Amino acid sequence: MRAAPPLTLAQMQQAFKRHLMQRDPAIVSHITSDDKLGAATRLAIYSHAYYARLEEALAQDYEAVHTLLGDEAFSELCVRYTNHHPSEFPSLRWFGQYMSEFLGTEEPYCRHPYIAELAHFEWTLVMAFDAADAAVASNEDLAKVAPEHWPQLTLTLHPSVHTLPFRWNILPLWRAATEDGNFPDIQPLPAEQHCLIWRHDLVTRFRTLSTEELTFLQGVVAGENFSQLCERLADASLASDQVPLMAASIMKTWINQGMVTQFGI
Amino acid sequence: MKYSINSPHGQRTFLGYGLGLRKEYYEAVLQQHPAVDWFEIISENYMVRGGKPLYYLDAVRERYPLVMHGVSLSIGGTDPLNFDYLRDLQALITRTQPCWVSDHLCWTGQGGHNLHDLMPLPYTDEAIQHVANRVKTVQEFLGQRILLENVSSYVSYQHSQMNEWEFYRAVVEEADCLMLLDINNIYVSSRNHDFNPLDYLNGIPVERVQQFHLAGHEDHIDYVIDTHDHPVVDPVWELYAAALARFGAVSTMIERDDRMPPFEELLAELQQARDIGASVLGQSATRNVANMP
Ligand SMILES: [Fe+2]
Repeated sequence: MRAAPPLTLAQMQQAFKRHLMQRDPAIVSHITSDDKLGAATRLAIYSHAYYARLEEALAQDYEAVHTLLGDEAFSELCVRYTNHHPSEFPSLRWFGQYMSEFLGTEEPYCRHPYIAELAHFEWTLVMAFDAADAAVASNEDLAKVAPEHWPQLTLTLHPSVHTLPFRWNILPLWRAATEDGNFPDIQPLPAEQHCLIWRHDLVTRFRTLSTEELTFLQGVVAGENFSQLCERLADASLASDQVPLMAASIMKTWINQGMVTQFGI
Repeated sequence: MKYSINSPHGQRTFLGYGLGLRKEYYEAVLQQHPAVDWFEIISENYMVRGGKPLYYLDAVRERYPLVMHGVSLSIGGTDPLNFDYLRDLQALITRTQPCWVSDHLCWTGQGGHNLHDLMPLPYTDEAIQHVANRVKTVQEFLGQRILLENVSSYVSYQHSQMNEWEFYRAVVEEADCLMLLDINNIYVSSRNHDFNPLDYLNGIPVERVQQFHLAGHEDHIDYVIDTHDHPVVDPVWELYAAALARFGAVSTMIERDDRMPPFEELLAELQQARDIGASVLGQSATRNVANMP
């Protein structure tokens, strides 16, 4: 074989990376072959490991998408995703962050919008899993707030609290794919719903939000106090005469479910 | 500059026999409090904001000494050192107070892309200087010596000017850092590149070696892949015994990252390491961790 001119360390690494990502053959002539293994076979060990490791990371984050698509289609998706969004972070933790967007825009996945929605749901579970820690507030903490301070009362949500809109029956779909295997017919919902995802006692949890809770939550995220939150509920024509009771009851549910970390007045 | 861990010429710290801390074993470790002398964590797995990873990290740290082992430093890379990463590493060091911190003698990314693999370097003077300079910067930043581990490799470069152990030795001596000798990786590379693993061991400076790794691999006859998904094989145990005979008592751990067996099986495998240690070193090898954090 003709001896290739030596590369600098930086050129060599760039050529090696291009071989992994784009099958660029430039690096091959810089790799030693022997009677046992040729340079191409040796390099193929690295290409295989590159895609396999990233697919493994995606399979961990997107278990339901994997089950839904099946091994072969999921592998193909992973190769396409990996080529489109090479990892830019030291930790594999962040590698899969663009999956929902990718599924929502690339053929053929985008023709089945529930796949992107399911991926968005699974990524939000990942985000809640290792979101920042914070001590949760208790009903006793709330009881310490004097009645005259209630109108100014604000609450801080746990850093793991996320909401996510969805238009397909992805929750039974996710359960089927990760737990019981009883796949529902995939269908659009009569109206958009919102899912609440958070972590309580180290366990990631989720449930659908009622319209009242969603309205309340949007106010809390906007930093509104209790009287503003009540107004917001009233404006939404939700339980007009019972608004303060309803607001207090939502708050107590959230406290019991470990979603609230602090009260302010 | 003076570093917080022992000088390469002073007495080596011997932690005893450890295991990799993996999520599959979190509960077993906390509930059974197994007779493992220490655990090694993969640093990147704990560079998160909260939740289970940090909960278990703190809980295990309360009960066991830890060392930190990174996979993304890319000390041989030609992109600038990633100081965001180093700050995260420093924060984890502050939280965990590890006995020491290691990463690999390799490159892991280029042009802003992370390959998440331990890519081999060419064994050249250029690479020695390049890596040594970066190690010095990292050690300045962290305020301590780091350990560099030899990786398994499947290719060698035509323009390499020396063999792997000559390169490894030159880097650590030039950089004044320590060595994490992976016995399985020596074996794997010796099969893939057709060298005598004992020549490798004999080329390694005794005083630089701070830790050993043991692991299993996948044997394809013509080549061997470092998969960490099988028990340690007999030739690697034999090489381990030879390493103990040359280097003396060195903190040893078993890496298992895939096809995780019941925890008891790993404990039994670790006992095998202890038994070999006892037979090669006799009773002289007692842990000297009294002054460790
Ligand atoms: Fe290793």
